[in-house]
Formats: sequence, structure tokens, C-alpha cells
Amino acid sequence: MSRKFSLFEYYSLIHQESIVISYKGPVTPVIMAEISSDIREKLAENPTASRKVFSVFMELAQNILYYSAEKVSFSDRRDSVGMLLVTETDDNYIFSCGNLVKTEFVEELVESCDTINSLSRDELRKYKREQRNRPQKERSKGAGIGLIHVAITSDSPLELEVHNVNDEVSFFSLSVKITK
Amino acid sequence: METQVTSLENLSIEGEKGTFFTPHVNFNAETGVCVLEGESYLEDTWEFYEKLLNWLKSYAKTEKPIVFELKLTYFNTSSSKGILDLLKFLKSVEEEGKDVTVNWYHPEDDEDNIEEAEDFREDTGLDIQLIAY
Repeated sequence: MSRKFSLFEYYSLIHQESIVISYKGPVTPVIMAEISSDIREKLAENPTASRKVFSVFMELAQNILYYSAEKVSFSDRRDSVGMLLVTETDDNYIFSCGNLVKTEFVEELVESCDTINSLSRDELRKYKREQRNRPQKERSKGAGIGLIHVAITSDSPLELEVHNVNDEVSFFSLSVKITK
Repeated sequence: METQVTSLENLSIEGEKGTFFTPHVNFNAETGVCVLEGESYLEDTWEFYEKLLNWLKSYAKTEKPIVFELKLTYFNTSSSKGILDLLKFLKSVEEEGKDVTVNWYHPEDDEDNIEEAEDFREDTGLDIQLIAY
């Protein structure tokens, strides 16, 4: 029996960078609690960075939980699937996450990120307040301000990567830098 | 004519950190001191904050002043919308003449936390007092 998937290749690929945490699989509240608590422990020596990475992680992991187009079923559960990655350089922590999104939502998502990236910090705070004051959107389970909050908290642009997987879905990933 | 007097009970919720984080709630119907403290990331954010809002609405019918004490170290963006609703309500009763004080306690070096308070101040027009600890 041949194994199509080489664990060693996977290991080598993610070993290239200094990885603090790497996860791919169902993103559930329980998994989020474990990983977020791990982030707090590992970054405890730098309270400011720890708070920021934690806060960014929580918002973006919740986005996967609510909006990932990839679901996996175990018995009667249906979980969202996504990737969560914390890497570290000399000066920064980098948090990245990725998941499948319905292709029809990609344009709107990219536009939102472009808008966010075009604004200054003060403009972002104003934009967040405006959005928070708006009534709840139908598709939204959250406050609809997660991405703005992430840009403010990380004080860095949202870096996007979008790949068309097929007509229905695209892989969408987002990466932000947090200064140590 | 029969008058029914119902007195408002204190609202007390024990804070909890498990899969979700429930903030500690202690709203005192006698003194009007209402404390919301800890971390807020909830499974049922809207229901939770609605419960707090409903208590404040009942309390606001009394003549007594209200001192709202916020000491939150973490809250997600959904919670921030819930908190905003509470503060907007407090502003509305202040405009009707109620004595309202809002104190926001923050870790001294937590700039993000201070900015959140400033944004709530900007949004509601309440004179939120910043207190470092």
C-alpha cells in the first residue's frame, strides 16, 4: 500500500520557520480554549505581545468557527475546519490562519481587507466604532468588526493569500505581524 | 387598591474560565454599585448582556444613583457590542437626570485596553473615568 501523504514532507515544510503553534483540523471552542491558553503560557514573558496575539487569535479562530466552508462530521457533530499557525522571528510573532470560503464571498472579504489596509490607526478606530454601532448583519454571528479589531490590535496590515480551489470554494488565508 | 411591592434582587454571576470565559458580575440593588470584571468571551453573548441590560433597566426605575465599575482584562468583539449596549443605556438614563458614574479600571501598561475605554467614551458621550491599577 502506498502512502500518498508523506508526514516527513509535511514536517519539513512547516519546520522551515520557527513555529510556536501549528494546527490543522476541526476548529471548535474546546480546541480554541486549549491553543489560546497555550499561547498565553508560551508568551507569558512578554505580556503586551501575549495579550495581542491572544486577542488576534480569538477573533480569527472564531471567524473559522463561524464561517469556514469546510466542515467535518463526527457522529452528530459538524465542525468547521481550518488552519492556525503562530510563528516567530527575531522581532515579531506572526499569526496566520486559513480556511476554505465559498467563492461567492471572496470578493467581499478581499474588499473588506483592502479597505482596512487603506486606513490609518485612528481611521480604523473610527471605522470600528461605526461598524459596531450598526445593527447585526444576518450572516454574522459576531459583531462584524473582528478584522478591524485584528488590524488595530496587531498594528500591521492584513496580509492575504487567496487560491481558487474549484468553482465553489477558495482557500483564504490571513496573516498579521505582532511586534515582540 | 392593592399595591404590590417587588424589590429588585442583586444580580450575581460567578466568573468562570473554561472553554468560554464568563465575567464576574455583581450588581447591587441596594447600593447601585455594579461590577463587571474579568474576561468576556461567551457562547451566548447576546443573552448574557441582555440579562445585564434588563437588570439595569429595572434598577433605573429607582431614584438611586448608579456606579458602574468595569474591570475587564479581555473581551472579544461580540462582547464589546454587548458592553456598548449597557453603556448606551446608562447614557440615556443619565440624560433623564439619573446620577451615573462609570469607572473603567485598566492595567497600567495596557494601551489597547485604554483605547477601548476611550472608544466607548467617544461612542456614548459618557464621562468614563480611567483608573489604572
